Amino acid sequence: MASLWEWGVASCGRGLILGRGFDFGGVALIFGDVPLIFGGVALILGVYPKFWGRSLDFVGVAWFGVGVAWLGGGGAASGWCPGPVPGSGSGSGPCPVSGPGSCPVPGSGSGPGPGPGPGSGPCPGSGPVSGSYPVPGSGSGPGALLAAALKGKVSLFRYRQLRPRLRPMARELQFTYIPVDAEIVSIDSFPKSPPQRGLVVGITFIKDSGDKPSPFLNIYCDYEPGCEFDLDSVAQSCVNLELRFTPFQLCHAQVRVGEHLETVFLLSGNDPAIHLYRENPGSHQFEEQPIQLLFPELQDVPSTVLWLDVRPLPGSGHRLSALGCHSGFVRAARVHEGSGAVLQSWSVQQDGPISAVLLFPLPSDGDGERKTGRLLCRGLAAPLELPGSRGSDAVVCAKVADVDFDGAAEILLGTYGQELLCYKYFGANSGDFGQFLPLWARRFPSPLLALEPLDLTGDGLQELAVVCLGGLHVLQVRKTPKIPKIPPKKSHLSKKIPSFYQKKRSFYQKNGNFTPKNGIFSQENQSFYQKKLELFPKNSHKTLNFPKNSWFCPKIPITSQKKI
Amino acid sequence: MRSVSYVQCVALDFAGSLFPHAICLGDADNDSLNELVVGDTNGKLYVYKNDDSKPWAVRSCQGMLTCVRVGDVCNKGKNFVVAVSAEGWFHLFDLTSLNSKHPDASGHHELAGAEEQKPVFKQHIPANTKVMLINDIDGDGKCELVVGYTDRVVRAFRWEDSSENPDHVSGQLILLKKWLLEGQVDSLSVNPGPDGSPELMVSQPGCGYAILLCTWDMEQRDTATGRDGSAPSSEGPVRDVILHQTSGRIHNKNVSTHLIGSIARGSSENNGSGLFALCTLDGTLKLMEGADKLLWSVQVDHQLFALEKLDVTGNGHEEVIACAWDGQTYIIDHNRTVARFQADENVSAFCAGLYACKEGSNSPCLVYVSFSQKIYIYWDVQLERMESTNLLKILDGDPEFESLLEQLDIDKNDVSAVRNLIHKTLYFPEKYHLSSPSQDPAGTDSSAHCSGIQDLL
Repeated sequence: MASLWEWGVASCGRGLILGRGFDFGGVALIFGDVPLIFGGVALILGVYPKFWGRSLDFVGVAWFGVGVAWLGGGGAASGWCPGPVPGSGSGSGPCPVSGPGSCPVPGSGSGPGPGPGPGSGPCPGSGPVSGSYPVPGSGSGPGALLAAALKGKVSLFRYRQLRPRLRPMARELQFTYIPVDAEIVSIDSFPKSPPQRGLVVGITFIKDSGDKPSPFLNIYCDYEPGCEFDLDSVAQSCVNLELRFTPFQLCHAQVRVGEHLETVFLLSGNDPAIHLYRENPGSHQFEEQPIQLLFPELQDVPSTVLWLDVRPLPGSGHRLSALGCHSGFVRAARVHEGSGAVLQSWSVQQDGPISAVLLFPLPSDGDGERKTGRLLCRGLAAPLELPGSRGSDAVVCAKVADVDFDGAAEILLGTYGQELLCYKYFGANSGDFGQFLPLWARRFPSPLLALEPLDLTGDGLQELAVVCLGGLHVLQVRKTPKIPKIPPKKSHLSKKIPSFYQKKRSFYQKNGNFTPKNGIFSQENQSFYQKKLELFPKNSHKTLNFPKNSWFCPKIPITSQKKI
Repeated sequence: MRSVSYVQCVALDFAGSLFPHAICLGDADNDSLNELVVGDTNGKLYVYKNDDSKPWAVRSCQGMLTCVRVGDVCNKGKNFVVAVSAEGWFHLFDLTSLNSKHPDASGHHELAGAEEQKPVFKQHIPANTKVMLINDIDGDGKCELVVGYTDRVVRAFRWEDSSENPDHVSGQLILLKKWLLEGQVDSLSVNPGPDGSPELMVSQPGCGYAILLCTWDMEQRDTATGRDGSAPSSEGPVRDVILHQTSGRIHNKNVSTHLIGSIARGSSENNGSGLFALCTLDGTLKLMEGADKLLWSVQVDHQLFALEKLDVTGNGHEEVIACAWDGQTYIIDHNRTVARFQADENVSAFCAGLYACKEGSNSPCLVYVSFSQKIYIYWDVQLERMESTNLLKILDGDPEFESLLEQLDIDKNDVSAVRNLIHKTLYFPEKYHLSSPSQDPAGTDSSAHCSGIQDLL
């Protein structure tokens, strides 16, 4: 295995994703992606180019985050499990535990993020380490992907194990109460926080009946025992909420209510405000509740929020949330989860609309604690720019995920210019900040719309699902061929600490790589892998500085639209 | 069905129109890197090199070029470019000198003397040419030239050298044999027969094919033994065309059919019949081994007009590549795993093979000639593998992996436990490193073991 993503399956074919709504023609203005570092967490901003006078009239168009929802934690669909997962044979429930930590933090998908210091907060990746604990997103069965097209169609994509083959399957999933003339704006899903169980899917759409467009939020959730993870039955039980505002991003976040964890929907609207939808424990119905009770930092936004990200700070009982607005306003806040008190808040004004805001966990060094304390003081004052990103097109989607198996997250940016860029954080040796350097870039046949790292093939490795204008691509980790067999090196360390995980890890390293050969890694021990392994995926640019003349495909985005 | 997207694409300028067989990839200038050779209907021959959108060399021929090929047709140990026009003019070009004289030749070829523009050899052969093959068809180790005609005739020629000087090209084509067929010939190919010797195959309408027997050796022997006069008259004309139909279910027995033989199957190469593939315009694809062994058959709803072979996975097995008029391209391996690729435009001609597009080395490429005066070359079209897979399948049967699982006390058939382990190992390495002394059961095991040894000491 290597840190390579290969072209995998794009079986949904053309016509899946978006029909229209992307009117970027002629936009080649200035934009950039500025990660802002604070609190041991970097804030990544994808900044849109300035819009040319059509400020808010593109509402109703699924113009970002086209709605890739992941159904982690459960072999969710149809109770299929490829192996002898305990409890799966009983028929009562397709998955034994959906995993206390298997609810992804919104906007981060994976991000195993070793936060500063050990802890056991509700962050994925920080749970107790034991063999039976289901790993978020991979613990019990492969994931599936929901992708919504603008024209009211939701497709379900997943891999089926038809022995001996693994087959990609895509089909349309009929969600009830979505009229034919509806245009889907956003989609999100999450498994409920334990002790409750079940899958919740939320879809916002605008029904344009001619005179006045009316927006709705549909929340799908099945309470029938045994059917909580059956997507077909979930799609049939719906709560239909009419909205008084135009919906934008729909995401979810986990909050601590008393002793429990609870996952709620957060929906940004053009009123401008962020709305919270929470399940009423009595009536088992989702209903809107005031945002200030649970998320006091998300109230009073100056403009439509285009993206928000909430992430717990493991071990501290705090959470960080960040939001980016259409006006360019960015705000981040640190909140005490128990009391809801806003401890710190930072804001900054950018030039253009903020297309994405992500919280990036910086790898903790030996002096992680001290460093965190210092960085928390800096706020949004010292932005870093991702080198080379200014030369790309508008960043439409972004994700934070570990794609090279070093335990630290990377930044993935999907641009309208048909490129997927990967950046890695390299900690500083003596100075106070490290830097982000481009790791690789890869071209796509059409503009990117959404990214989602998740385990689709059910092997514990996360694939990267990339939704493009022309269809869905699944990028898979590549096992680099033709690696010379090397004699196993006896390490004195592994004798002292007989960690088999460690041995196993070195086995993987021998049989595939974790590190690229592009010279980013300068340490001696890395160079060995650099020599024989290649970083760059096939069919991508083997350059680091993303030259502008590297547009090999003489295709303009419009051509792929016409095929839809 | 799996779809793939290739984005590494180079567009070459090509203003003319061409016949579907007037395009090929080959080492035209003998520098071990492949070039793209294209002939148009005005008799111009273009040779493209690297990713340069302008042709590296242009030559003029007489008539409409219907087929171009690169091969050692003169058996001199070096490749020539052969261009044949519909009117029957056979042109031979030697581009090797061009390479040495003009190392930076791009754009300078028009300055070269008119002498260099001319073919080194020109000869008239029967007109109405359609397809051409340069290969050893009779197993004598020397290349022959086989030409298929629009009037259902196939002729084989041999180059007779008339000069002693190996560098100088002088000689002529000698007709070896003429075969008459029942249907149109759309492809010529050579495939190893049951005894391993080459057999000349031609496609026949309705997903059929015919094997053409090379009888000139026999005739020569007959002549030598002096039975020339008596034997043929008593036995009648020698049967030299063996027609095969591949299946009973033929929708249209006149449908245009293409064929490609000698499909490599890697290390498992045996001496028996070679693999060959057939495709029809109504969307049937077949892979066969010998005359009677059908390996697979695939039906698609595209009009397949070109059939090629190319090793896209790099495992020594050549995949079958079939292209339709609308640019839909099917890549099928020997196990019938299908991947498809949609080129952006309608296609007037297609070929696949190795081409040195970038980085100074040959890479597998797909070449599409569009109707918009461009040739699109998708270069380095390699795939990791044809089938969808995951890590568990890849590691399945790996002895080292299994022994590690055993040490960790994990049943290798417990998919969810193995998956869990992989996930934790790859995504949370530090955590396990930190916690392993206390939490790893195997770790405590060995520390107990160590303490036991200490006790003994």
